[in-house]
Amino acid sequence: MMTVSDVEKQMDLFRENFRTVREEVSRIIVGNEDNIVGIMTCLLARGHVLLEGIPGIGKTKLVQTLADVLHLKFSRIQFTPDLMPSDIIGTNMVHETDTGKKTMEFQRGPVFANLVLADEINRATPKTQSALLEAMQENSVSAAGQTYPLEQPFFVLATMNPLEMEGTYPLPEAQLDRFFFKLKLGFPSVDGLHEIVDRTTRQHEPMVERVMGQGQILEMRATARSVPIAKPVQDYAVRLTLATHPEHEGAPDMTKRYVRFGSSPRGTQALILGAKVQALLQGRAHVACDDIRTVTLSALRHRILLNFEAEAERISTDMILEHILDKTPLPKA
Amino acid sequence: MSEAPDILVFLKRIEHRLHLTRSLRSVMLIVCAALFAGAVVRALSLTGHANPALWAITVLTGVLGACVFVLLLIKELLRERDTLARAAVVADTRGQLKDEISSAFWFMNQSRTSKWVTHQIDKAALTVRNLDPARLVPLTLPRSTWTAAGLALVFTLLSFATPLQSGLTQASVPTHLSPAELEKSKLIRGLLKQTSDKETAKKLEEALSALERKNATDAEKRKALAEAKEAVDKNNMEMNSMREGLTQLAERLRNSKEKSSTGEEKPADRADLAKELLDRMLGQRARQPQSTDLDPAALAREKALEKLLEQASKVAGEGEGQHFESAQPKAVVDRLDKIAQQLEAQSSANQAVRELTQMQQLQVSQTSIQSAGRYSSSQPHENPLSGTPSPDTGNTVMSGGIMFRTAAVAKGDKPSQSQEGSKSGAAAGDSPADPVIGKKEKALAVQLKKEGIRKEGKEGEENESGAEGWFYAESRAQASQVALQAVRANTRYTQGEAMDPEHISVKHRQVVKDYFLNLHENRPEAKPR
Repeated sequence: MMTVSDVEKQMDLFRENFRTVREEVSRIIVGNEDNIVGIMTCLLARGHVLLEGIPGIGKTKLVQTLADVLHLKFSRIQFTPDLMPSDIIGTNMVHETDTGKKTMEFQRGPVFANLVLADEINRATPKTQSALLEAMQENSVSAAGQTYPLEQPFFVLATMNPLEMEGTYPLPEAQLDRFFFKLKLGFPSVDGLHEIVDRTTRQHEPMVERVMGQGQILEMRATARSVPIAKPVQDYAVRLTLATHPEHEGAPDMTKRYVRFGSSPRGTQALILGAKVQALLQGRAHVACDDIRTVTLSALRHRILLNFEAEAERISTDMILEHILDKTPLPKA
Repeated sequence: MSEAPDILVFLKRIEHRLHLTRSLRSVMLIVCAALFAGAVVRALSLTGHANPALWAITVLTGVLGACVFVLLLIKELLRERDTLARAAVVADTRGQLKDEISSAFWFMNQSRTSKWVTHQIDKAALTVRNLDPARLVPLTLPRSTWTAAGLALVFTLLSFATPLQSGLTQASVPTHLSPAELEKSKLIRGLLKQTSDKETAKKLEEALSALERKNATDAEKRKALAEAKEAVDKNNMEMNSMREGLTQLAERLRNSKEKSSTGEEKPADRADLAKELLDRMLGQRARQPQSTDLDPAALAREKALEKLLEQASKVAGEGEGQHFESAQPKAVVDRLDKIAQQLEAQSSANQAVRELTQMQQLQVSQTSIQSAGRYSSSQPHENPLSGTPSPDTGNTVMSGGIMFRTAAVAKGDKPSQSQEGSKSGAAAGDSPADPVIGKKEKALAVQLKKEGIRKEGKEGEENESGAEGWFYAESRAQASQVALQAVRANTRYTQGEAMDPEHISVKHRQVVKDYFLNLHENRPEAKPR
């Protein structure tokens, strides 16, 4: 039987583990504190993360560092246009036994890992991209009529170049919706750039240690899900999601004008779970509206489909979400 | 859940303070509305209809203010009720507690519970113990208090303000008027205060305002003056009828006195009769605008009548065995006093009109400076006057000045019928006119000489009538002066024309023209070797 003091201990442990991982990652990665927190939030909320940024700003390095810090099975898939789904999930191969009998044996692909880096995911064709759908949603892989469960924690970190670049295939909406957060990596500042150069041009680069294992992650996941949320706060998250739908009555003008399709219910789930992790990081045993506001952009920016007018006027989903945050009132009573 | 009562007590205190704040806000809103209404009503009573623009602005302000107050009242009524949940939200917002109290309050009302929920409630209880409701929801005066204070100040100022009589009385004294005009203006204002008829006083004020206004045209001034005169003349006619009524009253009373001497009628009957006639007159007066022209004869008759009535009352009081009500003649005397006041007021109005007319003449004479500019056609609309003499003065207002009648007409030996009672004389110009304002005029006899002509007819008839035809011809001195002035004028005209517009005389013009026509750019000449 867990007591109140146990709750406090769990919260402290959660924050402590989180802080340790963040500090360890920060030894390699300069800046991007928010993105590190975002990736960790996705990991602890049982989600997957999509990292977007121009080439060379450390997307892959960030994921590799995280894999080094976490004591998990890591695999990397470099997505290319000729990559096939079987290259990801695996395939049945003929296996000859000692007796000379030939049998079909499933050869597991790189998706069978705890931490999967799908590098430059939008360079592969949509068919190959969709190979990750079942794994991300169901945490299992089906091949030749056989379903293979994936080991927990299963965490996909996909990186992608901006869609405007050459040789990219936009991710299908269904695929995008599977990602818990979409994080944008910006160009580092002048000081950040100096720090990157200093760290990476010396004879010895800094090394990281594995500070957290599989069990601790699963425990933290359970702690995050235990945080209670009051109905008015949950209602705020629901109203935010509904405000992204142009057909909704309470939607702001900007939504009605520029949005073609709004966020799915997965968006609301992402808001709530992300807010729960945020609440724990803030040392609270309840979710506040501020937590929901903090994760709104990351959780909903890839779930909104803009119309042609928005594309023509270069309206981004972030602009619409900020407008929604401004227009949606906080709970009054 | 053991900490739940602490949270509830805290929220109830917050709710109570919210309720007090809300009540205070409502009260201040009502006070503001009442003060605003009072100020508007007071402002309307002050402005009245003297200044239509100000009145309209006040009404518009009142309507807008009423709309604003109605909207605020509706907003206040629609404001959500003060509940514990709202108190929790207010506490979270003002204490920056990140939804801690409101979440705890919500969890407290749920049947399901867990360690996490209990922990959250305990933390919230710990938080509220350190919070002071008085600091979270201080009982301060709402912002509308300042509005109420401002409105109260306005209302107080308006309460002490004097009503606007009219735009003219409130207007500052114009600075462009000459001392003589200012004196006239002051005098007219004094007379206007004595004028009892509002309509007439308004017309007179407008006329004075037009005369005082710097940018008023002559046509506007004349129009305003004519309207004022018309209003006064109308009242004069009414007063004339009243005067006739008084005459009739006097005659009736005189007749009744004769009857009383023969015993046919008693003094009391005379008083009754006088009262009845006066009532009838006053009844007519009430139906018509008041005032009358007061001439000395009428005043004398009225005084005689008053004396007569007093005597009648004395006689009635001394009569033996006769019951006479002393209130009857007193009422008659009161009515006569009232009539005398009206006559006096009308007299002031008449005098004001005369002063206004003189002021207008003064302004015209001041602007009739003899200058070449008066012949300018740059502003022909400013004085679009015909050469018709004024029916009041006989003067002819012309462009650039006034032709005074005295210089143009001959005096008659006796005043004509139309001249009687008129100071300015008849329009025909056969009566003494007002004193000349302007340059000194020569006597007519110096300018003209009377020459006789013999009428053609029978010799016998001439001797009988003794009349000889005659006419005025210019005198020798006048003829020579006129000729001299004509020559001088001719010279001046020629000089003026010759020099205008290039200031080059006629005889030099061709030379100058040739010079400029043959003017060429000079080529540099080769130096002689």
